[in-house]
Amino acid sequence: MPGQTKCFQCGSILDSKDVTVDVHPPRMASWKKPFRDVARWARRWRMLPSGSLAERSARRPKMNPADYACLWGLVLSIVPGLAHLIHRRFREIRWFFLGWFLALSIGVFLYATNIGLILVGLAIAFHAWIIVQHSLMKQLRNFGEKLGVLLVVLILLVLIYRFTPRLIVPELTGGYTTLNLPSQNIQYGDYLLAWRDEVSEHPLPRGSLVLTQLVYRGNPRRLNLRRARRRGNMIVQIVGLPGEMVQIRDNTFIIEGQPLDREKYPVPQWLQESSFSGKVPPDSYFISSEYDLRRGRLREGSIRRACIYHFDAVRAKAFMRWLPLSRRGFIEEME
Amino acid sequence: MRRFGRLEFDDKKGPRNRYAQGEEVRDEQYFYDQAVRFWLAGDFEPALRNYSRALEKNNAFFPAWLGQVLMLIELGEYQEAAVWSDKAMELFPEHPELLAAKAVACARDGKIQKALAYSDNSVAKDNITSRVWLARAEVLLSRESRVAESCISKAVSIAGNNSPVIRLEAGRLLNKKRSYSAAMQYLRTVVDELPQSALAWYELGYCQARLGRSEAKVTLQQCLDLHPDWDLAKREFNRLGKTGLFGRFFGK
Repeated sequence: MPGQTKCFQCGSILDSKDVTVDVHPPRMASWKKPFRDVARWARRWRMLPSGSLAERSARRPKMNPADYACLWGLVLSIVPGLAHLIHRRFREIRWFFLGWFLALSIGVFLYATNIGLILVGLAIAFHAWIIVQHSLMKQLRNFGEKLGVLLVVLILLVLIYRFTPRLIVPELTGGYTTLNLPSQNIQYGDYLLAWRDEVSEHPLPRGSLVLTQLVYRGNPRRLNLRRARRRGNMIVQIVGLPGEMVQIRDNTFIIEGQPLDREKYPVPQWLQESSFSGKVPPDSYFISSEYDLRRGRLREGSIRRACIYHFDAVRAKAFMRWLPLSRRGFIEEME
Repeated sequence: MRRFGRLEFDDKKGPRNRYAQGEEVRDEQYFYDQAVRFWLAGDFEPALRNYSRALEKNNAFFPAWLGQVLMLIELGEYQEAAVWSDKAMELFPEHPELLAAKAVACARDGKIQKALAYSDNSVAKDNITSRVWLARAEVLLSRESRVAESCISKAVSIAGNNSPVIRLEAGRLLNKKRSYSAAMQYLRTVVDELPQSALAWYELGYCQARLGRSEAKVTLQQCLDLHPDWDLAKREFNRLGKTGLFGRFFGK
């Protein structure tokens, strides 16, 4: 093309004299070198794909029947081994299935302990491997993609394992206690299991161990109190029922003038050497729970605010000592 | 035109008719010669600068474009080399040597599939040169293909007047892939033909050192005599004395 300096099709320079051409090449910033070295190393070991993202997406084929089978296998494998069982390939993963089953069983048995948590994590790992082994690992060739898919499956499984128990047994919950109840074989720091649906009808019997959020009304600094355990719901004991007159005298709870058994209803440490007298409102309980006294003397108003709880604050009723293992067993009703 | 025909070292060989009287003309050929001299001395950064200066004189001077790309590769700036070969291809579309250089950049950057594609493209062109075959060999060596050696032989056989430089490149390539014995065969003849090239002496010394040869010390000393400030050669020379029993036994 006469007069043209560049090819209109490919952009090639036809007459370099008329076009200013930059002759100084771009240079790499020195800080980029270590990152590029790592990326290069990863590409050589096939941890990273060698093409750019656009090229890879252009090269990626559309979904074919094998991909759908792979996806279906993924969905079925939410129940570990089901996809393998249907496709008569269970033998391939039998040891992983056994590992998953054992890890999950022991993990559930030791639930709320560190070992239990680790074992449930191990069960999730076995489950993830069972899922990806079915067909994903054969579909993917790149190490980076395999690792990425495995991580995504792991994250999804963690979410499933975290929320499935709430779907299957939504009423089950649990919490730690700060009480020492010799008559119930309960000690400070025990973990108790509780049912939510048992607190639907109030009032609950005296002596019931219930799960509460333990939020005292008012400023905790002004109350001069601090929770014995910083976080989570707490198991506390119902001492006074709605409308009853509750007194604390000589380290004993006195209800309507009748002293309660100290073995069954021990006065918490922070209330000892304190005296209290008050009526429980008709929609509330007087509960017993351990607090840490900050400093100075305890005021009666603080006791009232820390011990009188509305029905709504009661979340569940404890039925089982779960931890420690040596004292695991069902809790007997007091009255 | 012979690409390295105008190269001159202190041995006073070669044509000198460009500056028979007075100071040499500082045209693109002058800077190109300087660049090649720096390259043969293992000074890649000044070589790159001189290639750029050659292009400042004449931006249609192809050897300088190729030289820039090759120097960027030598400096480990593979992405920049790929970008710059694309830039050069605006002036020299689909030039097999530029495609081959881009293939080398991709291969060294770990992008083997891309490298292979560029190499395939370059080999498919007409009038392919030794550099194209060398690039092909490098890409194939990255894939541990046995065909690579025949590519090197082919490159050397068609090198013609550029034979010393191509043999030097072949030796360097084999060195990099740890074929020290094969590399030494090429490099021994190169140091005879390019006795002033520190790079050639270094590559030969490196090769000999890896094979546990005693003459490595003399070879590397020769390299350091030519280029005393070269850190790479100094390091290799210092390493020679520190080779332990195990290293000597296994020739490492």
